[in-house]
Amino acid sequence: MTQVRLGFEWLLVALVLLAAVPMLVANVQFLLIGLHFRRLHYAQCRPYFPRTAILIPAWNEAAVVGASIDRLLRLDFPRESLRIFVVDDASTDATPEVIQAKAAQYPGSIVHLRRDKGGEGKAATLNHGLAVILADDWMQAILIMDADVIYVPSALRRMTQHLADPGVGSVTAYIKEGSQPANWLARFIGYEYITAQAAARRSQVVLGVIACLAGGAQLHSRENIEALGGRIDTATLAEDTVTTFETQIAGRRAIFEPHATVWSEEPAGIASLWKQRLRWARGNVQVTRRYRHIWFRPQLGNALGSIRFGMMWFSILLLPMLMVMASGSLVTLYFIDYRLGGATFHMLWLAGAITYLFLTFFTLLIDPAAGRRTWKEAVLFPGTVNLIILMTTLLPGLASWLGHHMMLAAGFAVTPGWLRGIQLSLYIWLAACMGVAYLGKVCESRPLGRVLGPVLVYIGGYGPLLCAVTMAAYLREFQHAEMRWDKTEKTGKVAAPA
Amino acid sequence: MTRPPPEHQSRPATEPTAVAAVSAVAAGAADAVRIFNEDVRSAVSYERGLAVKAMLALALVAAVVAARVLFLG
Repeated sequence: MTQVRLGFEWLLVALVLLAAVPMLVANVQFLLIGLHFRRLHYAQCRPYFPRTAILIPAWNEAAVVGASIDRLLRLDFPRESLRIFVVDDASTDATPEVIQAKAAQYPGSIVHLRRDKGGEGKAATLNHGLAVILADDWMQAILIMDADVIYVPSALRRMTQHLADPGVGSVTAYIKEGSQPANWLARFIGYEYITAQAAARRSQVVLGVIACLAGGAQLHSRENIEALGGRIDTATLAEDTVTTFETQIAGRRAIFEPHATVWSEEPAGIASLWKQRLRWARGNVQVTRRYRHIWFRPQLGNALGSIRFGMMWFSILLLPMLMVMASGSLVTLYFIDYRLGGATFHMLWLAGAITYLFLTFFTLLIDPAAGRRTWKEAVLFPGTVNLIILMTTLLPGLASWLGHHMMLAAGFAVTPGWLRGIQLSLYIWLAACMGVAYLGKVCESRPLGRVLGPVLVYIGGYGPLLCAVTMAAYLREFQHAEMRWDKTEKTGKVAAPA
Repeated sequence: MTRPPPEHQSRPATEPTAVAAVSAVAAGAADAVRIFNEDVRSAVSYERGLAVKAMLALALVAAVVAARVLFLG
């Protein structure tokens, strides 16, 4: 009986420590960034300005599409090698008028395509434009972008130079959050994008595989888009990830050009962010299922099947589940072996603290300009409570002294019962932080929600909010919920810093 | 319905060459190469700098862990 109990306890310990695997993977991923300079593709590049069709799907984009077209035609790129195709997805605002005015302003450079029946999603809209673009042989490269994004003048030429290498099928850029003024959520997203774009994509380059060509900045060679069947996949909510995977499965390289900068406007509210991220997360679950024959199969000879890439992919996908599992295991340990539970919790958070320090500090150094704007959100990314736990793990003596005196000052006597209660609460918090962050989204539309929503996200954490989205994506996919293209509302407040 | 059939779409006045050089804009082919070389040089330098920054970040973590073990444990 004792042996069974001992085995059960160690199983619980293993389940808790499993939650440290994504941290380990993240540390390795960030260390790889230091090797990125050894994997640069510039030796195969040359100045190259192919005839480029720019494909912009647009649904009710009157506020942004005109400025985007103006910016595109000021790119550091031969004007006669650019042609902009705007696919108006049955817009009900002034989008058609704006596009027609721009077509008159830039004769020969703008093509306005209109779908009378819209709402079938971005991929269907893109396919409408692709059919027209591929109908003649003018196009040598195609840039798929969003209506609101702003390319810095050098961005496109920095991307096309990679297509001089015939082995390259597609190129993506560094997308940055560019809302001006940037509210609290924009700053969180700004920091997240340094980690997800500037950092993660560099490490993927080192691994020889790109997880996703950003939907707002996808450059393809004609050969690549034709090899993909001349159309974008419509079966999932992550059409950009499917395009990325298919490009690499077909043996063409996907390149991340970190010095081609593109500014985009991201959601301004929690509910809007939730909708956007739920779509992405559901798309990722769908992609995981679709490519189940690839994961962890290095023998297939494709880097997508490598163990390291699989670990990276699943670390993000399974993180919320691992957090819930760790929390449940710690609560069980609390009741059957209090000391062992405490030691395991401490080990998990020590791994968390080291990861947090390394990732946060390095991320802020990767893009110092964005880091200066977002450093407070970087510090608070895990949430206020988790930050306190991290600091307590790193500075236990100081935290204990502070906690003791604060409780005394508040008139509470510190008893062993109190301490045990706090300990149990912290175990539960590991999973509950996602719920608190989710409450921020729920509260946002209620009275006082504009204050309470952000407060709850700062307490629960922006990272845990993203984990809650992934949880919701599991559930939606499990329920086979309808695939909805919830478009993110864009207001034209994005501006490239001077 | 404003969708024009492909054959009716407006075209640039002159059909560009297969690979239009920067000279087509204003800069000239030599400038295109010079700009490209400058871009690559600055990008490589930035990427090498990231290796140093990774070391810096690691050093910070090592210092904190050492302080934690030696003085704050």
